[in-house]
This record gives sequence, C-alpha cells and structure tokens, in this order.
Amino acid sequence: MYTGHFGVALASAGLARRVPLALLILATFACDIIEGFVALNNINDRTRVMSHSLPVAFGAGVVLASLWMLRGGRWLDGLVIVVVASSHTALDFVTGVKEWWPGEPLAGWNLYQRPWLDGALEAGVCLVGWGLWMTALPPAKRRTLLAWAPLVLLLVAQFAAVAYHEWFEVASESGLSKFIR
Amino acid sequence: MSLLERIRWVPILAFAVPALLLVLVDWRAGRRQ
Repeated sequence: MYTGHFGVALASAGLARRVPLALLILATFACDIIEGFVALNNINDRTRVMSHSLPVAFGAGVVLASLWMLRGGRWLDGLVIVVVASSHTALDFVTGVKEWWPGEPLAGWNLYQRPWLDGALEAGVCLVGWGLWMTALPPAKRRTLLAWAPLVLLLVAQFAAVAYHEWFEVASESGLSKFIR
Repeated sequence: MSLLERIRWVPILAFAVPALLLVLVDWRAGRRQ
C-alpha cells in the first residue's frame, strides 16, 4: 500500500492531537524503512518477514511509542502509535503478498495486480483519514485551500503511482527492496 | 556498486516528498492540540 498509509497517519493525527504528524508518518512507514535497512545489508528478505511481519511492525510501534512517552507523551497516544505502526502489516495484506507472521506461508489479497482497484481503495482510505484530520483543525482553517491540500496531494500521488505501474510495469515488491537495488 | 547507485530514488522521493509536504501543511494548518 502507498498513500493509504498516509491516510492512516492523517486519521491518527485527528485522534491523537498531541502527537506530531511526522512521528505518526514515521510509525506508519516503519516497516518500509526497516525494509530499506535490511536491503542495505544485502539481505534478500524475499518474503519481507524481517520488515513487514506483524511482530516487527508491532515492535517498531512499541519503540516509537516508548520514545514518545519518554518525552512525556500520554500512554493513550502511545497506543495510537503502536496501532498505526501495526496497521502497515494489515494494509499490505490487502495490496500485496507477504509473510505476515514468521513461519506462515505467503499471504495477501494482492490488489497490486488490479492497480486501479487498489488506487480507488487507497483513495478511499485517504479520504477518510483526511476527514478525521480535518476535525482537528480550527473551524476557520477548514475552509481554506491549505486544509484541502493533503487530500489533493495524496490523490495526485496515488494516481501517479497507479499510472507509473500501469505504463512502466514496475514491480513494486520485486528484488532486494523497492528502495535499494 | 556504491550506496548512491544502489538507491532507487523515485520510490524514495515518492514517499519522502508527500511526507514532508503533509508535515508542513499540518503545521501551517494549526492542528489543535
């Protein structure tokens, strides 16, 4: 999943209003960041179990939540960070095929094979996430172009991603990593 | 192959640019604490 993860970060920013969006984005993409570091070490984690399985996603969330709470953050916000990080495994189950739990066979609905359906679903997640984020804005700000910018940005990015896959037939999860050759 | 040659810039920018823009917009929009 691509922009859907941003949608989750926006939704959680609407709920956990004390938590910086940057931290929530870091949590939602922790699995992908770990994937990059695994690949940097020349480890061919073909099933992505070392980066995208639920224990890893949950663990990354616990680490980030702990750091947040060490800085005085509330435990409820920490819980949101853990859920956001763990959601990566669940959302990628919808779009891809991965080893979601160590030792389990590869599984997932692989919506990447139907890019436009994937795009529509991710756009829906972004719409809901943006709507929740909007509730956290001051009423006067909700009517500004700035408030609409995240939705427009994510929809454009998702359309570009779908088009990129369609036209260039780029396999999103092939090779060592989508970030590292 | 050097580190710079190993990096796939398009996917990284596809994540990093929206992330930075969203953080900027969130800050400017003044999300309530």
